[in-house]
Parts: sequence; C-alpha cells; structure tokens
Amino acid sequence: MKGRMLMMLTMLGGLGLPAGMQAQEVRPRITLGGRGLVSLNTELARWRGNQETELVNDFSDTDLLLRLDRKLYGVNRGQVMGTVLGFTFPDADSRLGQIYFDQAHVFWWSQGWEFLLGRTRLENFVLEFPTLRDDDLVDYAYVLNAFTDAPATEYHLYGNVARMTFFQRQARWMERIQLSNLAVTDSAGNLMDRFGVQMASVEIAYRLPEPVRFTGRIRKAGIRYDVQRVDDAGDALLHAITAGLDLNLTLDPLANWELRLQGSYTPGLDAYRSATLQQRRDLSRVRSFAGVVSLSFLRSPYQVPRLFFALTGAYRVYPDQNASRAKAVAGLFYQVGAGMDVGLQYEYEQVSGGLQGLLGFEQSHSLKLLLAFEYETMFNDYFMDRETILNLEHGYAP
Amino acid sequence: MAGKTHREETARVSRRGFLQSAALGAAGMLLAGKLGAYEWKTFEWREKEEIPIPPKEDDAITYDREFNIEVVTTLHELLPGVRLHMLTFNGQVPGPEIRVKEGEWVKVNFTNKTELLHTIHWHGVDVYYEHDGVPYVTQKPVMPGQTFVYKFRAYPAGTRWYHCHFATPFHMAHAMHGAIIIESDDDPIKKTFQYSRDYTLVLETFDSFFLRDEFNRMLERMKQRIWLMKHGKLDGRTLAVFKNVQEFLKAVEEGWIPPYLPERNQSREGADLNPNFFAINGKSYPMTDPLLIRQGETIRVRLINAGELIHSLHLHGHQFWWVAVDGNPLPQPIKMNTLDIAPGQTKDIVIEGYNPGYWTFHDHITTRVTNNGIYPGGMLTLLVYEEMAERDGFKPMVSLDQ
Ligand SMILES: [Cu+2]
Repeated sequence: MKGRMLMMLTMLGGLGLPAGMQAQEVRPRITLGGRGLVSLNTELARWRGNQETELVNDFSDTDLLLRLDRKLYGVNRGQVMGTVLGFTFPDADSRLGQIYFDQAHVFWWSQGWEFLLGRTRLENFVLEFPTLRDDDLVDYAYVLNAFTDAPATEYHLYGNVARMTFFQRQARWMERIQLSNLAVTDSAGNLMDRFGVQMASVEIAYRLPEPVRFTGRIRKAGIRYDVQRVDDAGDALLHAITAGLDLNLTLDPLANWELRLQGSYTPGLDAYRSATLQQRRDLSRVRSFAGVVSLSFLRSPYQVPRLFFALTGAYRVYPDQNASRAKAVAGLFYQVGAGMDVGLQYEYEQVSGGLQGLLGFEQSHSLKLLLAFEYETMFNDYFMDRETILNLEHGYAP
Repeated sequence: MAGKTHREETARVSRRGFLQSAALGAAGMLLAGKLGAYEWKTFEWREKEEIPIPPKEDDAITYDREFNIEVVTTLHELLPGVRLHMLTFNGQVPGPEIRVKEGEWVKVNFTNKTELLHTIHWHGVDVYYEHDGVPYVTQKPVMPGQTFVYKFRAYPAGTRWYHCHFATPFHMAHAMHGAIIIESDDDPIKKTFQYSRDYTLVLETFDSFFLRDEFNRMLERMKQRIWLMKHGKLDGRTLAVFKNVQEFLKAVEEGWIPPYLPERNQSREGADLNPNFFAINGKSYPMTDPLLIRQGETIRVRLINAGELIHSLHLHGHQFWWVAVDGNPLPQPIKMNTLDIAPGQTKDIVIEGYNPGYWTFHDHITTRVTNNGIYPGGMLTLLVYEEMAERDGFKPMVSLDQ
C-alpha cells in the first residue's frame, strides 16, 4: 500500500492533457499549516511491568501540511477541488521510520457535499478529545483497526478512504459514508500489501460549524456505525456503534466550559467469544464497551484564548475476558502567544485481567511537559471556504 | 424614494429627461451652437448660517421629509459571476439616493439589521454635531437591532453623500454609501446651463478578498460579543474602547495588548486594501448604465467618490464644464475633459450634446478599467446619443478581454 496514493497521483499527472488543451495557468490557493510539538515525557512510576524510568524527548505529532486548491469552471456553482499532502513524525517505537505521510488525498466540495479520496485521518470516532496527542486515547475513543498487531497507533488513526459527506441546514446536519482501506500487518507487525476495503462506515450528526461554535448548547451530537470484514477469522463482520455528545455548558466565549461524552459498543467476533487476549489486534476483535467523558475549560480574556485545561476519563471493559482498562488524563495549557503553548499533561492508566500480560503493566503514571507551535498561513487566498459565516448564513458565494 | 432602487430612480430620471429634451427640439440645437457663450450666474454664499439644533422631542417641529434606511447584508452581483456579500443600505448598491430641498427638515430612521455595528455620517452636510455619525465621538454606534433617528436641516445645497462611519475602511468601501442631493431654486448651475437631465454616478472600489475575509472575521467576533452584551459581560477592553487616553494607557500598563501590535494582530493583511473591482453605481463595465444624451441637450453629472482611490475621469469627444466641488459651485466653471476626484470628494460636471456618437467615459488610471485584472471593465461607461441608438440600433459591442 506504500505510496499507492502517490503513485495514483503520478499516473494522473502522466496521463496529462495534450499541450494544446492545457488552459492558462490559474494559480492555486496555497495553505501551509502544521505544528511543532515537542514534549518531555517521564514515566513517574510503573508497577508489575518492565519498569524503566526514563526521560524521553518526544516530537511525534509534529507535522507539516500543504493544501493546494482551486475553483472549478462554472460561474456560480462554487465548487472547489484540491489536494493535501502532509507528513508527521511517528513515535520512536512505531517502526514506521523517520517520516509518516498521514495525508495524501484529493478533495472536491460544493455547498452541500464534500468528496475525499486518498490517505487521511479515518475519523473513526464521533468526538475528538482534548488531550495533548491524537493517540492518547486511541484504545478508548476510536474504533480500532482489527487488522494490525503493530505498535504504530498511526494504523488506527489513518487510512486510505473514499469519503462522501453531505451537509444541510447551514451545515448543521451532516451525513457521511466512507469506505476505508486500512493498514494490514502480519503477526510480526510488518505491513502487507492489501488494497481492498476493510472497513465501511456511516455517520449522522448535528454539529455547529467552527465559526459559530458558541451559538448553541450542542456542539455535536452524532452516531456512527463501523463495520470491518475480517477475512482471517472465517470471513466475519465486526460491528461497532459509537455515539457522542459535545455540549457547551456555558455559552460565554470568554469563559467556556465544555463537556464531551462518547460511548461505543462492539459485539466482537463470534470466533473470539472465549478467546484470551494474546495479540494487540485481539483487543479490537473481542466484545467490548467503552466510554469517555471530558470536562474542559477555555479562558479567552478579550476574546484571545489564553488558558485551557481538560480533565478526561476513559474506560473500556472486555466482559468475556474479564478484563478492563481505565485512563485519566489531566492537561493544563497556557497560550504564551498566538498559536504558541506551554503545557503540562498528567496521565494515569490502569489495566486489569488478561490485559496485564499483553500490555506488560498494571498501572502507570506519566507526566509530559510540552512546547507547541502551531501555524497556518494562506497564499493567493482568492475564494471562501464552505463553512464561513457568510457562506452559511448569507447565501453561498465562495 | 427610500424604497426605490437606484436603477428605478435612474430610469425615472431618464424618461423625464427624454420627454423634456424631445420637447426642446430646435431650441436645443441653437444652444449647441452657442458653445462657450454662457453667462455664469454669479453665485454668492449667504451669510454664515446658524446650524439649528434638532429638538429632542419628536413632535417639536414638523419634518418635511422622512426616510427609512436599514442596513442589511446583501449578496450583490457586480458582474455576472461576481457575487459579493455586502453591507448595504436597503439592499441597494449604492444606497438609495436621497433628494431634498435646501432648508427642509429631514428625518432618517436608521435601523441596523445586521450583527455588526454602524452609524451614518452625512458627508458635507452641516448637521448638528450629535447627528454627524462618528462612533464614540458624537454618538454610540448603532447596535444590532437598534434604530437611531438622524435629524437635520438640509444645508447647504449641492451634491453630497452619506456613508457608514463605523470601521470605515471596511463598511464604507463595502457598500454603505449613497448620494444625498440637496436642491436649491437658486442653483447657479441650473440657472446657467438649463440642463434637462441630472445623473448621479457613485464611484466605487472593491477589494473582494479583503471584504470577504474581514466580513467573516467581524461576524465571528460579533456573534460572541452580542452574547456578552446581552449578559452584561462586554467590557471596554474587549471592544478596545476607552473613556479617554488615560484609561487606555492604564490598560496597557496592566498588560492589555492593543490590537495593532504584531503579537495581537493575527489578520494576514489588516486594512491593506488592494481593490480588484471598480464600479459605477454598483456595477462594473460592461454592466454599467450608460449616460444618455441627445444632440443639443445639456446634462448634469454628479460624481461622488465613495471608494478608496483617486480617479481621473476622462470623457471622449467632448469638452465638459466642471461646475462644482464638494457640492459647492466653483467661482467660475472650467472647461476640461479629464477630471481628477479624490476619495470623499464630489464633483459636478455639465456635458453638452454637440458631438453625436458613442463615447467612453472612464477612469484614465487604466488599471481601474479592469475586472479582477482583466481589461476592459471596471470604472467605464458610455455617453450614448439616444437618437443614434434609436435610428440604427445600439452599435457598441461588448469586449471583455483585450
Ligand atoms: Cu457600518
């Protein structure tokens, strides 16, 4: 699967248009974004495991994104097509190498829909939770990829997708269908070339677009269904259902309290009904319930974000295996300048039952001290995004 | 009048002018022969007028004229395919033309139907200062949903205009501008030239990218501020408004960061305007309305620069009379064919119909005769001799890319 998207793009380029048919150059809009995110991680204590207290300088989740897009022909249709290329620095123990291309896709949107084809985030969750790194709650908040034993969390976060999303009523309602090609690894964790569709998903949600995020109590309420076709276990279907609710507890933009709740259930595969947990991928294949709850507060004096803290608790239980795990994450972030944060995150995780053997610990405490720099800059910014207040509330004219 | 579109108004003027000029007939021909032989009716300013203070109570005086103006968000089509979200008066670009007689008491009910703040400034009209429309200087800005009643006695006569004075580089250049024409029976221009038609051309510049970005940015910020206002939590420092300079200095001392500092200003370009569309009365060429004239007819054209740039207007095939600046008649009309007009200025010219044809009238800073960089377009219109168009059909073609 490696570089498949890139190959496709190259092929398209190779097809080309005859010289006479190439239109005059229309410069694309160029968006450059990303973040530098470096933390000092220290494992404070670990019980019943291969205990090693060490200080790790962790720059995973540092990423760079390049988006190029243009308007399509047509006077009033207001359609846009573009491409995104992005890479990130994976975890040192992920065996993904120095750089991982997390984004390589082409998108096409209009007022009421968006189509995306290629490598991107799977978005196999209803809500995102406010923790330092995307994978801090990967075992609790995501529908896990059932085809990998590799330690790389990237295989659960990213995939190659064909995604169609529809929007109605000022984009407050969205419906999505997605077919995903997931990373498939062998038992040693090495990537195998598997190009089929491993996962299909549908989601329906009510949501507040970003520019109007303070205008209602419900920021997002959604439900989704994901199904994976597991062919190495008797060609069985692995279902998962996830529901989430994100609430503005206060509508005050200067002092905003937010509560996020998400629950998910997977009935597991019949073949795994009485299995013991031996491999990582077993965690996604057995019956389990998960819940995540998070309370956060954003203080923005004079409408400038300055202080953010979040307290998140997550739990997953594997009833057939008599096992469970729980994690608590507390984060405090202070914005020292526009898009520049210092922060502190404390994590506690506890596992029980057969999980201890698989994961190699019973409890762990860790502390992360963070410096982050986020940026986004646009060149040749000649059209307006779909979800701007003008396009949503005052007539569509991108 | 307030409810009428500019186009309707123009059409009305044109029809009337057509009848009058048709009636002129041979007399009109005679006038053309006397080119340059006018006698300028001497014009003297009256004694300095005392500016009357409008009474606070509504019924203390009788208002001769009353207008309703609402500011709304309009998706305006400048050209086919160029639709821009604009702040407009009564949904029109430019706003409705207000025509009153000198000395009349005027009342304008101004209602804010947007989520932003606004005022109206009566540019070049000697109003009592509390009705001058400068936010935080002469009045509080008009809040979303609020109505403010502007009252003044129309003085002095001439071509004047009005515009929003809140966030002026953004709101005024947007489309919150319109003409206020104060007529006088003693108008020396009318007396001298006996013109039969009277046109108003509001000159406009639009930076479509800036308008769009700034509009979205302001709306997002204001949605939050409206909530804060309702709950009594909107303080001066959030709005960046202070009682006086001392209060401002105190805030900075206490760590408040002024919005103009680079660590606070996150907008990419701020008010760095770089207009890419140029218009006359809300339309760019080829969608601009032509000036209609007949042989032997004299017309008056009132130019109002409501945009951000200086324009150098040139009329082909004719020498016109420049007769007034900022609404006030010149000591002596001047014959010319290229007239510059600065932002905020108004200038009146009189054109005599002595050279039948189709003649372009345009900004001679030719980068403004473009649509998004493509010539021709923008600030360009035609002086059209009606009888030729009636006889042979309208000859000029439409060219969009040269
Ligand atoms: Cu305004």
